[in-house]
Amino acid sequence: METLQKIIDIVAETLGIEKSGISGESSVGDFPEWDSMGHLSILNKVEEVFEISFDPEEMMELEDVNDIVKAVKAKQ
Amino acid sequence: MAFVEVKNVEIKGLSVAVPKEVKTVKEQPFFSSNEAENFIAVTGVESSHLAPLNLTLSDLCFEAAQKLLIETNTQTADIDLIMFVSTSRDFYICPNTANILQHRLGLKTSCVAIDLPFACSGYVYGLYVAGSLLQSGQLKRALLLVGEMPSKNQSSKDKTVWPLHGDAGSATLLEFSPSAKNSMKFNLNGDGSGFEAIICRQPGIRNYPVTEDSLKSVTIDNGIERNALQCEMDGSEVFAFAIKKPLEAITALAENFQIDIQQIDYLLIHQANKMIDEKIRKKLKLPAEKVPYSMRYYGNTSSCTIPLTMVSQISQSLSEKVNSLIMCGFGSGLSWGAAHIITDKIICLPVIEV
Repeated sequence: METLQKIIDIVAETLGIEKSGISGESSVGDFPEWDSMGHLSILNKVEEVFEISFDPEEMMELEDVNDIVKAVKAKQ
Repeated sequence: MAFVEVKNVEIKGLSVAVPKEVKTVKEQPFFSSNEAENFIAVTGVESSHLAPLNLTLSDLCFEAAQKLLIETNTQTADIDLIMFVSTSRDFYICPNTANILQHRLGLKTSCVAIDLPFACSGYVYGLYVAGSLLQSGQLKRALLLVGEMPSKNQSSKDKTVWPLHGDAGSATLLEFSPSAKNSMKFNLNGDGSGFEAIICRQPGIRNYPVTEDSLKSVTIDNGIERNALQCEMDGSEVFAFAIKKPLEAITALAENFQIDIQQIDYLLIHQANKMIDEKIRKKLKLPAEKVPYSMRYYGNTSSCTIPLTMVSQISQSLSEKVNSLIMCGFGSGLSWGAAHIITDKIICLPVIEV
């Protein structure tokens, strides 16, 4: 739960949108700000905050908040 | 949606030229090492080709066309139509670049010469327009020259466009062929309400004249600096458009012309970025081997991505057998189109470096 909240915080802060509108199912394309470059910024920030590194192949599969949470947990 | 068919026309050969010089994502100053790695992972672009100042898109198309004429054993006198599809014209207002290339290639003065200023959807539109002009048989052969030179109208300090794009020009030889078994099938669309999504605000008549202020670089955001002559892209609007409209166009094309998408040999999607293209591929449930990519080492070359993917990724298949292809181009305009083309042993030349 804590990881989910942290990811939602990162998404909200990176894209400049309200946390209340973001859920585990929120994904690329759901908000105008969450485009390719927005997605890139989110993943960069997640790597920095959790001190982890995604594999290139893995990054292409991370589409929604739940995907990112799962990938982060697998690396902790 | 405009569903249209072109009969009695075949692609005979294809050639693409790129500049020798390469620019890499990792060397871009606005990216840290980790940011560059992630950019490559999400966009699929690692490097692209970059023209020096004195090289134009018409130079690349000239090289591609000249080589193609030789390798297809086509005489210059046999070319009845030359069409230059690009926004990277030699001169923005006039004259047409197609006229310049008609003379430079030594084509006859009775050769019809036309410019079509399309960007990323240009290959699909070019095939439709050139094919339409050939299908009555009054004109027999066309040189379709399609490509873009984004390095000339983008800012190297704009991280939203510069690392993604590359320069490339192509030449396709089309022939009137009354014995052609298959028609070319198209679904063409446009929506000018999104005209500002990808735009160069100057030069042109709307924001005339170009002044000293036009050349002043303005900081838009962190890592985004450009002047009024340089292309700007509204990433959010383009992304929303790109994950929706091309997929709809392909699906509608298949439904209208009763094409089984699973039976095609290749889907050639405009190499916008890998994230967008993979979304389209997965929604169409196509296996990875049916959707080739050229963006890794060439980037997004606008209207040239489809021919560049053909010559760099699937040339053996195109040269040796019949191929059922769906093409889809989409971009500035907004403009988008899908096409079903069946090729039969076309002459597909290796990528030329100029």
